Amino acid sequence: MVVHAAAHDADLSPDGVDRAAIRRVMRSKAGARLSLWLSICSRCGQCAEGCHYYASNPSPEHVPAFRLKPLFELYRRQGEVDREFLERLRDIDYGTCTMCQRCTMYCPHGIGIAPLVHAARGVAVAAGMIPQGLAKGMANALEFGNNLGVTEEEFLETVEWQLEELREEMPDADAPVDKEGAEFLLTFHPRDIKFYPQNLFNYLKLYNAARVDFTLSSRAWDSTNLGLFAGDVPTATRLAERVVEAAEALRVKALITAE
Amino acid sequence: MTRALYDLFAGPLALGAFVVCLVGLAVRGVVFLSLMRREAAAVPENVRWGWAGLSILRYLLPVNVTNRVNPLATAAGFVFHAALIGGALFLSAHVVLLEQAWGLSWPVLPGLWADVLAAAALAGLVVLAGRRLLDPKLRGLSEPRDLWLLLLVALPPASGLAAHLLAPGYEWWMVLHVVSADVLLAAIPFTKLSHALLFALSRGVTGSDFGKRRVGPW
Repeated sequence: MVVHAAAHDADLSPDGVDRAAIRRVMRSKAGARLSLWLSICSRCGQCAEGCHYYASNPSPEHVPAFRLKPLFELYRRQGEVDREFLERLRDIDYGTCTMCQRCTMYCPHGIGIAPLVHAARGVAVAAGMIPQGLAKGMANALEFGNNLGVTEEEFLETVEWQLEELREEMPDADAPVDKEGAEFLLTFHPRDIKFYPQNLFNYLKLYNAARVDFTLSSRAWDSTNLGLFAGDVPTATRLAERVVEAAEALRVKALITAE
Repeated sequence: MTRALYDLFAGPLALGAFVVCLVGLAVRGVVFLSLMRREAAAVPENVRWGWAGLSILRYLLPVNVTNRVNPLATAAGFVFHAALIGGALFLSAHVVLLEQAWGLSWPVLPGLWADVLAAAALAGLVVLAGRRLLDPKLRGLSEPRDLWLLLLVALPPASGLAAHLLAPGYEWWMVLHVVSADVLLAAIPFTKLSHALLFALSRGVTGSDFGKRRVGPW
């Protein structure tokens, strides 16, 4: 490990940019699609019509194809970029895209702009440049199993509280936790648990009224995956595995992710 | 002088340009497909051919969403492509050259169409270039090479039209016509013009991916 760390340090340029790590991640992202898409984007701007960022603020930086510029430049310069460049990449590729893929539906060439934004974010991760709030959320997800750091006790209390409220109007309502063999495992946005428990109330009401055979997991109930959003593939995999393992242990038929 | 230049660029160099264009495009297509195959080796075969085909078809016809949200750009794009490709393939002068050189021949358009198609292609290009220069969202997006390529694509129809309509300088217009056509052909595999072939691969792959979610032949 010491040798590894020394080699690692040697790759750092004076401005603290780890170009070796950037080049590694660039190689891992440079698949068939990426090189095809970067080379055929004609910058026709049709993608703008599909973008909610552009719809709310029609500035040139909000045209989806604009988000490919840093990535294109990165590959053209073969990773020889400075901190200022990476900050720009971070601001564009984290700050102006939710990776909803609507732009691809408007692109005559069918370019997957969201996967390319994801690749650019992967580069930012390698350069240690994830936006702070996102990094905090990921750390929470890894530690607590949800991105807002809700503890298991808080989660179970919230479920119990909302179930009690629900029973006032629906006496036979139930919210089984860790019930093996149920048909569906429900997961939630942590925001609904921590800040808007009324939403949990509504979910429970809906599934009870529909007489769906469901269960909640006491540990894997976060439907979000900030690793995926951040472009951090190893973290994304770990977070997804956690939910999949819970679903398999409970032997449910399907997992429902709600937003 | 012009005769020798014309013969050079309409003869051996034209052959060279065709070879560069076709071989270059084929290499790019094969490289893409073999990379795709290698990446997909670890996962089960999961291509939705129907969705891929529908997606390509949908964007080859003006029936997709861009038609509704951006009718002017869509019209300019379709007119330009149809006129340029139609003119290149079906003008009698072009087919005669092919017949003399390689013995290939097919039906041709009446002479008047040469001027109409060239003018239509140029009109489409003018609209596309105008948008690129005037629309703020395209100005922010454009690279200098986007405009150079528009110019390169405009040269063959413009010089062909000029040669036909303007008596003086006919020989020089024809030299410009064949030189620019050769450069254009040879540039296709190395620029965004490679979408001539790669459009279908990209649209097909995306159509298949979106088809898995059954959201339409995008």
